[in-house]
Amino acid sequence: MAGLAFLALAAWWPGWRGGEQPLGQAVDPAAFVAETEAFATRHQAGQTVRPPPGAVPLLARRFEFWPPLALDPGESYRLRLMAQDSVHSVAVNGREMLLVPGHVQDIDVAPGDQLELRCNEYCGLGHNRMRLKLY
Amino acid sequence: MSAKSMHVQENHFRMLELRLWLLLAVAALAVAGGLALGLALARTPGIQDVLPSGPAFFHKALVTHVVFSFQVWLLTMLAALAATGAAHPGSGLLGLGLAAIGVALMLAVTLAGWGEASLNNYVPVLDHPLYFVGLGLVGAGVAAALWRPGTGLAAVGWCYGVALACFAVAVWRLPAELDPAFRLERLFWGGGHVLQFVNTGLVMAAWQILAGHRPTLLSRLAFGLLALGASAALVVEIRFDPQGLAWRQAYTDLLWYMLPLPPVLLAVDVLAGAWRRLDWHSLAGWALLASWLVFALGGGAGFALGAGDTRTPSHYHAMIGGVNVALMGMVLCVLLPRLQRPVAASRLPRWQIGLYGGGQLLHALGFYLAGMAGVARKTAGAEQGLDSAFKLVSMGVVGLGAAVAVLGGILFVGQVLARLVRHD
Ligand SMILES: [Cu+2]
Repeated sequence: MAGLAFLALAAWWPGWRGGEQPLGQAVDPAAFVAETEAFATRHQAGQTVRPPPGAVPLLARRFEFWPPLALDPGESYRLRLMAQDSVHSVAVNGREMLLVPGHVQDIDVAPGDQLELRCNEYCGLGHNRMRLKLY
Repeated sequence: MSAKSMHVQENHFRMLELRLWLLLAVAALAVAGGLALGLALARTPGIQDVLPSGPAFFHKALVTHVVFSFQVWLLTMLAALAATGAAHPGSGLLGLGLAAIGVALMLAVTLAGWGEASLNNYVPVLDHPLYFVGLGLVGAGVAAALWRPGTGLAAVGWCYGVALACFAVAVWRLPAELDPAFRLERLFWGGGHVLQFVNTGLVMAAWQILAGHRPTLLSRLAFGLLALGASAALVVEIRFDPQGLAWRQAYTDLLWYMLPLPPVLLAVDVLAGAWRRLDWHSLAGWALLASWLVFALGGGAGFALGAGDTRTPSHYHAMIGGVNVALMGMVLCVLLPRLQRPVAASRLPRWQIGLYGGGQLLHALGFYLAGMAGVARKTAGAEQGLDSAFKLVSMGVVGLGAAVAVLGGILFVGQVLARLVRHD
């Protein structure tokens, strides 16, 4: 009975292996960390970083998204995220992406978006703190 | 030995087994309550330095509080339920011994302050080998009680087997060198989801017992669907990589699609059967209604899952509350009388269930209203942004409900422990 149920389920879900979400573009992790640090220094404005419109490199690590950003709500950006220490994730607009060291995931921010980055993969005791308001 | 005296002897051991499982279940709740007191103290400066393992005690005590008041309580209650009708009390008593040693080990590791606390989902742990041995012993002990003929819990036993298989497969598939937080999260994610089928089966069985309900075609279908839903986890394990996102989301979908229908079907069947027959003013009828009320609120809040506000804890708390009300009712109305240790006063149990159920209802309702007003989950203090009177009042209701429910819980543990321990 149980075996039959199992076979029925396996048949009902066609395909043997499930599709995996892409992990993003492969990069040299050390180079990406250095690039992010340089970018943050270049656009430092007080406590936060005010980047110009366009690509913004970001690191996900215990227990923060770094650097803290102050985006202009009227501009477009492409956030480029990589995990620095271990696996994290980010959920935006109901879509979630896994963040893994050595891979970069992109999030496009359009004018008028009100995004908050939030880690959605348990990563340690500070996991619930791992959030970043973008504006 | 004559057949009759063998029967008497087997019944003696069966009652002994039931009593000891109940004792272990309620003792786990009592210890969880004690640890909750420790949690409060751990936040108090001055006192926190005297506690075992100092300020780090907070998270360690929190882990074991959750494990004892959730996993250990529910699984040992399942074993107790299995013990009421099962053959071979010997294997049940053996399982009980294993589980008791496991519980003692986990408590010892907690009090000694060994291992790092990990607040991963479903089964938080202290990352120490002895803690895992303790968990394993509890798991094996419950299996010994559940997997024998005559329990009347075959479908739940199947779900439990699938859960254990998921844990085993995860241990085998997840490399040891992964980051500990990520590895523990993924280790308990799959089986932890399947355990929710087990918990649902447990509350379904408790409803049947409270209502004096006999199995029908519809109730068999409900348990069959439950077992089928849990079995789908095996497909997830075959199809997806346990380190990927698709694997994690597949388990979320599994609960979303496969878990709600069986308890609804069973509740409809129980209601249809018991509508005229059951005395709704009796303690059992009262417990059944209270359980359904809390459960229905939790189910409603379930539709708001994923919104990231406090409607998520509203859902969890109401679900657990609804399960616990049914289990408390089952202990007071059915299991203690079966042990010939009924609670004497009829008023107190009624108050106890009313306080616990009402408290859980308020607690969940407060979370629900706060969530609708936009309070984010898992935040505290200024972060919550309690900027309107409505939000403040609703979070106040959350606190009030928790206090009332805790009072009901203490009354339950006190009453039942007194009845179980007293020699008469
Ligand atoms: Cu994280």
